Amino acid sequence: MEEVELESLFERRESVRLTQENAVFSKSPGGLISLTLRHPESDKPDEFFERVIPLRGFPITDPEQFISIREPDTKEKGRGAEIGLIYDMKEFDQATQELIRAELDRHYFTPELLKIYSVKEKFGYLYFEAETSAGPTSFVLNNPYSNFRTFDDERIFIYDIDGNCFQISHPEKLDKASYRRIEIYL
Amino acid sequence: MLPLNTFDENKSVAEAFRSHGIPDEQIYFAFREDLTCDGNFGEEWLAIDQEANHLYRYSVSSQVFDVFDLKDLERPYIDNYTTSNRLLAYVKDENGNDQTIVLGACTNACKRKLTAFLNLWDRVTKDLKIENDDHIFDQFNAKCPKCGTVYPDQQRRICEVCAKKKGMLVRLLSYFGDFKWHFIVVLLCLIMTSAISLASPIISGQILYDQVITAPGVTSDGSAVGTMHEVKYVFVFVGLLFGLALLQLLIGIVQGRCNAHMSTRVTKRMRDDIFTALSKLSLSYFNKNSTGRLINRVNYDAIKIRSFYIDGVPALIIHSLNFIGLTIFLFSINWQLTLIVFVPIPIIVILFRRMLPKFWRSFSKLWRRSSSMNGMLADTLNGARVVKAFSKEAEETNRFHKYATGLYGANMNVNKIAIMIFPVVSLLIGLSAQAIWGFGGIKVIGKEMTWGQMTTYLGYLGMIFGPLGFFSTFTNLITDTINSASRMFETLDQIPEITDSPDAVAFDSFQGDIEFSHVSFHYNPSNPILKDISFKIHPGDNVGVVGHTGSGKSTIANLITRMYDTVSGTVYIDGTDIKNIKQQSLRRNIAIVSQEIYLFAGTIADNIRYSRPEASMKEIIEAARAANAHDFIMQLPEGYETQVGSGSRSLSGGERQRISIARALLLQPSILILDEATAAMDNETERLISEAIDKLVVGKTTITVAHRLSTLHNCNVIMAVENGEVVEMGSPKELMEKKGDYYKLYTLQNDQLQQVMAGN
Ligand SMILES: Nc1ncnc2c1ncn2[C@@H]1O[C@H](COP(=O)(O)OP(=O)(O)O)[C@@H](O)[C@H]1O
Ligand SMILES: [Mg+2]
Repeated sequence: MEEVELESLFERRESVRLTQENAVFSKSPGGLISLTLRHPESDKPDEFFERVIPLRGFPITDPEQFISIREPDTKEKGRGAEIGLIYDMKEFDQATQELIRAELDRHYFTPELLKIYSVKEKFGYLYFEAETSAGPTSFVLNNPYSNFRTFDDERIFIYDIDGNCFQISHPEKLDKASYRRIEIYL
Repeated sequence: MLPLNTFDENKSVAEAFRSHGIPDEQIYFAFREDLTCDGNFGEEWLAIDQEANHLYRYSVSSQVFDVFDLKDLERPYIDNYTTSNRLLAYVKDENGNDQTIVLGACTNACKRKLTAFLNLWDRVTKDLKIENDDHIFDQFNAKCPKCGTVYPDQQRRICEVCAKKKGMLVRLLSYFGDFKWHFIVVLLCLIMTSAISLASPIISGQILYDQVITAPGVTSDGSAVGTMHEVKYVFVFVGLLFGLALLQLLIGIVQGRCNAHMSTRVTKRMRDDIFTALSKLSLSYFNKNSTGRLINRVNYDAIKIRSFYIDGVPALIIHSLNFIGLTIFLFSINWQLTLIVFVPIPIIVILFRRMLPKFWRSFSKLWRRSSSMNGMLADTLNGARVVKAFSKEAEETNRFHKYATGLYGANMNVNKIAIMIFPVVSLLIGLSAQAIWGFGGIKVIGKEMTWGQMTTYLGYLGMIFGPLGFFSTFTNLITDTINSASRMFETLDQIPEITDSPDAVAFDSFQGDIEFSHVSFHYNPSNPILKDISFKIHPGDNVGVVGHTGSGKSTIANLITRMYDTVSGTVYIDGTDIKNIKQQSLRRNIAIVSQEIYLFAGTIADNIRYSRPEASMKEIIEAARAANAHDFIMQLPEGYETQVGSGSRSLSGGERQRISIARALLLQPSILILDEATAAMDNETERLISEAIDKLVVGKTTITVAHRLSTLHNCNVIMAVENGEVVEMGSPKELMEKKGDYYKLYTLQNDQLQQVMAGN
């Protein structure tokens, strides 16, 4: 076997730290994120990625740090390879932050429950009617006692029967009537 | 329209399509999304027409109608997010470059339909005809595995027939059904106890004092006192009081024994029920629920419920009886004084009401903290090896200290509140007692009331606060019990996801023909694992499966044994859908040695025998020999009777693997699956085992998952799995020629070998 061939078989891109200097994020015409990656240290030409996907390393406790920027997970590309890592969103300008944050929020879609209109129990299932940060919705919980997750900072996650997730970041700020509807499950 | 989503669900959509010149008949299939493209909740529709020329998108909320040329939309794909999904496709921009656009979005609720929509789209662009009874629609006609009714709502599979109908308290009481007599005895005991405690103050006050001790005379309202002013009556009534006290003690003993008898049995029965229910559940349930939580359920919740019935209900009865009796007696003696006694009651009730929620909250915090401390303890002790390996003893001690401090804090809180409440209550009680001394004293002097009546009064006064305190905590006791009970019934009512269908067939053995047809699978919706895979394994094949870790090899093995059901697509064994094969037959004829080995606490022989308890000693030894385990087992001081399993860690990884291979071989399966079963062994041992296995399973289908190609040396078929797809399948020779994944692996391992040989 020739050495060269073997090398090329196991080629894998090297993930870099992304900063204002080497990464230019822009909104693609389709409303998604594009990335131009510069290689200031070497004389490699700029790379352009039509679409990149941001992922959070610590989605629950630290949503603004360690954002992995990857290629999409499609049939022809396979599991998206990591292009680079953003250590802290603050290292980027406001517009970029907003662009990435919007996409992240889409990815970790966890609407905030603003108001709980009703919680009805029927045959052991809980039927919720609620107003969320993403508009009004209704959802169903089976096993309510296992599907409420409370964090140390009082935040509450509610997982519904479909695998969707809703959150209440400040239970104490929820109006009394709404809070009372869920209190006993906490 | 194909039965995916139809416009019958929302007539206004049909209307909108018509107003854009597209009648219903022209739509081939449509899909209703629950998110708008900008990611908010809202209804949107995607539809493809009969000629497969256009994709239409209609947003119900904004009424925007878009038309796309299907030819322009290339390589559509789905982004699976944690809780939402997006459908995207490439279009060409003016320079001919790819550009991604978003076509639609939905939450996990319609994820299956989204996947099906994409699948149909893919097929229509290939000019394939799709009928209404296509297999892909089967998943939207799912039936309740217990009773067979089609779910009314396919996305939320709730069976209203099987759902529990009886109220919880009734169901709970049913556990006490067999103990009717015990219950009645307890009830009688309670009534008698209450009667005695109510009677005692009357006997000591109004009879013993007024009629016996007081000199004969007449009160101001004309009733006689001192009618039994003789020494013998002192003896009679003191004796009576003593007798009553003794009787109360006896009743207490009887009641205690009855309770003990009932409670141990009821708890046992609840635990049995929970355990039986748990053991019937499918693997996916255990993935979702931590073991700690399940153990807690079996232990703690059953006790909680029992204590409600054993301590809570009797206390409720006795306190209610006492309270009613007391009120009647007090009013009958002197209503004005009674009113004075009742003045502090509202204050106390308010106090309890305001303070107790705080008290309970601290109390449940205490409970949570103590359970997380226990969790931490169990974790550290189980991981003792790792703790030592990284010499983290000091850190772990610190961590424990933190938990313990937390627990201490919660404990202090509870006590602080308790310390707050109870002095206030006793102060109030003291005040009312003084008020009675005052007002009562005046009345006794004015001869409106006898001295005995006043002592009765004081006696009752002490009794009235017991029920009050109890009633104010009782609601919490109830919520607590309801919580425990609902957790318990949650488990009992859980319908196993995998059950035998009513017309499932039993097989004595299999030929060993396995087929996957368009199988997709995920453990949780955000992370698709197997993506529409199809392959066929013929009887007697020796299949080697290669692929990166996490590519889905073990998952394929899990689906063959039906540990999980496919999300869509079908697995056939001998041409029969495995959903129509009795699970018993599957378990009996397919043996799997999985990557994660579990040895139960017991002897080595027990562990090998686990797959077939009726196997003889000879068979066990033969299986062990084939697994190359016999020799090392014989070396052990206690041979086949060596204790293994949780706690004893005397076996090496390879030894444990060999025991579990023996366990699988003992089953004499038609299909044998070895999932990295020899990974922890040296090449020579591995070779020996594989030769022995080959001899044992001639003509049987074997599937071997491995990373080392040497393990696969006599496989006639190789399957390469990558990222949830079967990327290559064929004989080793074919794959070498194809220069794909298998070739890479081969080259790499060969290359490494050569480097080692060359000495660098
Ligand atoms: N019980 C489970 N719950 C959720 N995800 C799982 C579970 N088991 C495996 N996975 C995931 O499925 C993927 C495939 O796993 P597996 O089939 O075990 O891979 P392999 O055996 O090829 O190494 C992995 O990404 C793994 O994280
Ligand atoms: Mg595996």
